[in-house]
Amino acid sequence: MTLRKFYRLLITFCAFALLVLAVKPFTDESSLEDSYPIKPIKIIVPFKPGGGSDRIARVLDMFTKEEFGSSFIFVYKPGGGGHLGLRFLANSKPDGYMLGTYNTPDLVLGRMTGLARYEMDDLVLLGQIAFDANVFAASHDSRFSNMKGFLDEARQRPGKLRLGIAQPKGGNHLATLALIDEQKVDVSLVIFAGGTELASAVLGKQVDVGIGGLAPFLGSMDQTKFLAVTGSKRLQKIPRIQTMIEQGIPMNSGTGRVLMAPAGVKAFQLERLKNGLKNIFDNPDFQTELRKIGNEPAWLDGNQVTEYLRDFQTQAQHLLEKTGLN
Amino acid sequence: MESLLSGFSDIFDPQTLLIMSLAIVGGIVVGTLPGLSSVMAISLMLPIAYAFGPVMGLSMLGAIYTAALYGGANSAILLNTPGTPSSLPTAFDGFPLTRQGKAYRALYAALFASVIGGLFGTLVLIAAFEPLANLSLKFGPPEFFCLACLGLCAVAAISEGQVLRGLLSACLGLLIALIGQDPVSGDVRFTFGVYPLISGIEVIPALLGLFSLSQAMNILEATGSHIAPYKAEANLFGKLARKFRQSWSILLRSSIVGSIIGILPGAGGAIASIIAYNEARRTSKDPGLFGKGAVEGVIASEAANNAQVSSSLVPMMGLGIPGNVNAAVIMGALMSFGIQPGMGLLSNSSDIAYAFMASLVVSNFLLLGIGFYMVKLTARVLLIPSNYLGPGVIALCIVGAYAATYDIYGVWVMFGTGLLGYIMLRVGIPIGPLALGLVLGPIAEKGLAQSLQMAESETSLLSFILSRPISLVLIILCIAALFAALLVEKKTRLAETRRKELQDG
Repeated sequence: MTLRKFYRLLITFCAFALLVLAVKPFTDESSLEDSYPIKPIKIIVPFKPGGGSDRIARVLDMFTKEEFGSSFIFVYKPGGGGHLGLRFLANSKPDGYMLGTYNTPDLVLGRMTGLARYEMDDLVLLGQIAFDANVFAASHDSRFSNMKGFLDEARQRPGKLRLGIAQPKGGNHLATLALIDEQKVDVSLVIFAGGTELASAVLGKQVDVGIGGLAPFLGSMDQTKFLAVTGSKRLQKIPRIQTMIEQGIPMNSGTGRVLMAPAGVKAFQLERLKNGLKNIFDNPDFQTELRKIGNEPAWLDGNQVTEYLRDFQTQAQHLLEKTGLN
Repeated sequence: MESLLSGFSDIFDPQTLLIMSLAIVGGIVVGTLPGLSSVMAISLMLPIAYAFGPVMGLSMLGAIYTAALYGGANSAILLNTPGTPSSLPTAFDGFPLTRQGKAYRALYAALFASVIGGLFGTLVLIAAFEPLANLSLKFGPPEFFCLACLGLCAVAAISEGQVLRGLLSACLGLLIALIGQDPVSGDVRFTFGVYPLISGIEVIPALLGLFSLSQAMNILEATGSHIAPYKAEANLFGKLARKFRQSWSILLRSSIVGSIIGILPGAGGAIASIIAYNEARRTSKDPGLFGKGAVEGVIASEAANNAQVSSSLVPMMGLGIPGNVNAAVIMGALMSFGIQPGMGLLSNSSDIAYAFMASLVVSNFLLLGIGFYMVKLTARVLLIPSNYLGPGVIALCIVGAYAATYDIYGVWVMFGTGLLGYIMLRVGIPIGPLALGLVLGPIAEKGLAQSLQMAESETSLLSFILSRPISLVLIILCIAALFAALLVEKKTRLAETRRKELQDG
């Protein structure tokens, strides 16, 4: 009796499973083209929660519900300077429901410094939503008034000045090594684990000058003296601070914030994601929100980012060999 | 003062209080479940906080943070599973108490100590977060190195009577902590080609393995039907009240240690409760009881642990520099409400800042009330027979390790360290020192490596470190702590002979 009951249960179960299998393709079919995305999209932030990348992604997420029908699901995968999370993204199923955020030029530097275990072909770039020049910052009572003064003193007192860097083996690190090499100065480099750690070291005068993003300094502007901006133009939040180029030092670097998906995402999904991202970017409210947290909106589409990275890569290759960072 | 009172009046709104109470319940549950952390809960609730608006949203996040850090004590006491590095020392004495059938005593002591420590830390935050934030800047790499060393001195204390084994265990922990990226050069070391190890051995899965998994295997091996007797003690609160009256100095000292060390960005939480525990042991009349079920140990660890909840928000509110990941996420919430934490916080958005600080005070009182009832529920874990509890704990370990890393790699780390922990239990090597090494190793290493880079512009590392007053004080404290360990050992022996005499007579 119980055995028969068991068989009946088993048969019902199998029938049900078959039914589900039979119906499943249909649900897939219905997710085509116009209805995509039908469920929330996951976004991989390859850093700890609360960091710069997380904040930018959270600002983006304020507008995703309107654009894609539901908010992002945040997945934090820190490690290896972000390359661990990127590999996770590159290996995940390209079903159009998994995105990731990361920075340029670190995206190509990973392969060159040996930290990354993915190829650029494993990822497809959706676009860049912000580009943040770095700042050289010092404590408010620092004797330096600009980077020219700092470099001049460094030339006279080799090895006596300390320069803090926000992350080992990142774009920032390389740009600074390039600067030191080009200016033929000798400074003691101190490397920190991130922008906030750098900011407290600068304010606490552990280093004479530090190079990093502007955002971590926003809460302590009256205790910070900015010496230079590394981008091609001045920053809106600190309009009086000259760029390096204005000070006669050829340095133009910064951090681009890009979004990407694993390669192999269907063309219509890719199109939808790219357009959606551009729509959000074009919304003036998005740009206002982004500026509020200290980041500078700047759009590049996927191809433009790829091009930028290719240019960077050729320049960086010999620098890496020269500076021994690889 | 007036703005603080108006902050309280913002909080005493039925809806806000209701949300905060729910957040406390949720926070306790998340904190109690091994592997689930306050960071996870806070970032999960962020979108909901946005919808609630600044006062209610921030009160909710603060309540979760407060409750989750307390909740870690429950699993540490009942299952020997410190869910976070900061409740590590709670397990040292909490679990032995459980084994002796005094689980209630430990659980309530943890609750009361947490609330008192939490209130103390919050008062410190309210009274002086701006000047204290500037004080935190005085701690540079050399100071962090010395502070981590001071924390490591606790190894001497917790491996008493078996110093060699304790040191062996601590060294093993430090070695494991070396796996991953070099903190300053970024080079990858000791991963043996296993790529995910690039991010190092994650602390939470490792603690789960070392403490819970090894314990679960132990539970399964044991012949008893339950891990510990579940019984109510007569006149429990009378005894506890006496205990708290006797150990007011421990409570005060731990709260101060927790508040001060909690302020330091990056390293605070883990070190605070370890140093507080070590201090409590040093000043105790009967240090031999520590590690074998001293309520004072639980009190010291938990008071420091919860004192650092509020004080860890100090650099975030004073300078806009978040001291830990929890503070970073809360800061993100503040910023998306259009509030820039840091300078001018009190002049630009004092209403919300004070409402938030008032909510932390209220959170602690809510925690007292809600926690009081939840203790009875959580203690029921002990009613589960061992042959269900063991597999249950293993399942929780797997889920927790996966949740902590969002990767199957975390589960492997948990199994690996679990096996290691089991072997160590078997051969009688204490696990505590290994955990200390694992937690403090990276802080010490980074501090040392950065100090070396800083010392390049000086004559030598030693003169550089000794020329900094705070480092010098910390080094002296380290030396004192080592000598104190010797004295404490003597004291223990004296206390033991006295106990024997009493028994004989």
